[in-house]
Amino acid sequence: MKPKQLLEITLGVFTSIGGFLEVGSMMTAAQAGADFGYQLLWAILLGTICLASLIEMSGRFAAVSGHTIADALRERFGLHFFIVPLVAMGVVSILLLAAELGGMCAALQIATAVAIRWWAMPAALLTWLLLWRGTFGMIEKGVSMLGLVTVVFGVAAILLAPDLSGVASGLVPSLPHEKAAHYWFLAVSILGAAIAPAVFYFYSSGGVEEKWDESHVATNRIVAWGGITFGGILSGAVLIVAVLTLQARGITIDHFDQAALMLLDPLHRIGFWGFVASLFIASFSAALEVALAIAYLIAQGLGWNWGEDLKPRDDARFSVSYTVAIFVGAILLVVGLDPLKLTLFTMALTSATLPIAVVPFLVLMNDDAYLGRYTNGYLSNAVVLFTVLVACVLAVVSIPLELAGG
Amino acid sequence: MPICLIRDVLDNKLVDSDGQNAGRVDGIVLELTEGGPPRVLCVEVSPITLGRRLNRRLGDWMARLDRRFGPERGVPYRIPITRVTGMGVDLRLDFRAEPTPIFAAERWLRERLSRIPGA
Amino acid sequence: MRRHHLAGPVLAALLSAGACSGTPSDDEVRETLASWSATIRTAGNAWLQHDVPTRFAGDVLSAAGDALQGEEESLTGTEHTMLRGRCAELRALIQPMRDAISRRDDAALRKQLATLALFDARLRSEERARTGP
Repeated sequence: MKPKQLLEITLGVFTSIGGFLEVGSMMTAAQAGADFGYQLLWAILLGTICLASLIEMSGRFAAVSGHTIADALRERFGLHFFIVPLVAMGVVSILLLAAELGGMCAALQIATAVAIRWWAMPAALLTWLLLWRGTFGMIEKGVSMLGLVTVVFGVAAILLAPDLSGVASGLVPSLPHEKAAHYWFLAVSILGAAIAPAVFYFYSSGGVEEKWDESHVATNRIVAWGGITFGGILSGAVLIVAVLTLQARGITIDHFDQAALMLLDPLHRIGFWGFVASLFIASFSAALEVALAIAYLIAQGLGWNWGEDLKPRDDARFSVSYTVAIFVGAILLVVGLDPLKLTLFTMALTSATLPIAVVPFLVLMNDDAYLGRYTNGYLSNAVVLFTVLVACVLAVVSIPLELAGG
Repeated sequence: MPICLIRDVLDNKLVDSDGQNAGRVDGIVLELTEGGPPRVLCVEVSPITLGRRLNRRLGDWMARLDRRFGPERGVPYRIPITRVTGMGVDLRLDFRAEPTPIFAAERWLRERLSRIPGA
Repeated sequence: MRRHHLAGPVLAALLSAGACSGTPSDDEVRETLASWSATIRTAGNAWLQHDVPTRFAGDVLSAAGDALQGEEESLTGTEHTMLRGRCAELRALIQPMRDAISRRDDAALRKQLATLALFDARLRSEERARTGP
């Protein structure tokens, strides 16, 4: 392997690891650990495998066809069909964006004791500024690399020396002994947090921004699987830490402040600030990605000029799209929507709407007009389809139950 | 050379002579000729056409909105099929789309954005 | 579409920060009590070890106070008198702790934490008595 390729892979893997955790995956994993011990590790495993498959497919699609998913959705399925994922994903993504901004604000509240709603506009402004002035490379590589701070959870998990047989048995799906509705709701939220369509739609746009071609297919496969797998391991680490520091004390997470106690045991002050930094940076990079994903979806669907590398005046409608999205997300926080509840419900809602975003994409991945000989194999189709349908069915059942039970 | 209009023309992206994205084919206009088969007259690129495809009233509302931007507006922008070349997945136009109504909203926004530093 | 039907209840649930849409069961309240008590204890000890800033410790105590007040208010009816009492008892510990922290008075906080430990012990023995040997 050439040194340049090796560098690209390393960079890509670190970017994926750093970019994996965000407020959704952190808080769902933490809640799962605090409420159900190791039992829900299988959901993280399943979500990780599914996401890695989708990311690899997304990259392959961009590299071979030179098109983004949104481009192909409209071209292949036409306007009447495209409207459905456009609206569904648009709505869910705005909620997701609000949740990520909420994660940034929660981190700032933990650090300063100033309430979340006061941080909403500053956080939105910071996110907007980076999109306005930054380039794709800066955001993708730079901010995601900062996300490597989340490795602190891995370090803590190792230091806490978890019971490995307990961890192993958690990787196998099991039925809950009690609080079934909450268990399945959390399972669904974990899956939704891992398999956010905004992320793999974004990834295909990234591939086109970076002008990938067929020669990138192999590198992409390594980066997608390597990066996402390690990211998933970090997610598992969050859960394990929650088991050993929160569940062990009987602390359940009803407030972000309680989650902030997670890393104190093994890492003391470093653990506290490590949590704050992780939550902030992870949510920040996700906010940037989701805002871009929304703008990409609209701009590509309607055939506008788009590109983070372009100056805002050269793709004015694209730039205005992410600006409006960020502003709307911030408003939801300012009016007082509880960010923790917002996060969990948005993750569950993502699961409920997964088939809308994923199934058409799977159809595209089997279309040789776009992919030539790089179409999907039977196994990838099966794994993704299975996960997505399971997530959806569970979501449709458990969301109303969770809402009813409070 | 036979082309599949729906699959390869409708909803496909247009790229102008400068390489800029010039919207998507939102509609296709056929001309019915006496004693002969219908032929493609032009393509439409317009949010009005988009709106009408989804719901007639929505399309009319968008037309009314568009009319406020000028007397000659309020109707979908049409490109004669002769100006559309290159049937790859993206269709190429042989002219610059920048001064046309396709870029109207873009120009309008660009003007206002130029007041914000960093644009 | 599905999401329209969800919009109402979802928004309602999201806006009612912290509050449940129904009366929580006794078990749930006890769990919440134990959870916040442990939270306060952990945060207090962390503050004593200088692991967390004073502002954060104060913020955790406020959050605990708000949550417990919410629990107390949701427990209506005479059959919940004892649980309401426990909520109030825990809540009563919060202000003295906040004062101790803002005065940087380690000794006072330790005293409060000792009282908290007694509260925890009583809660645990009540739990054992309920669920039986």
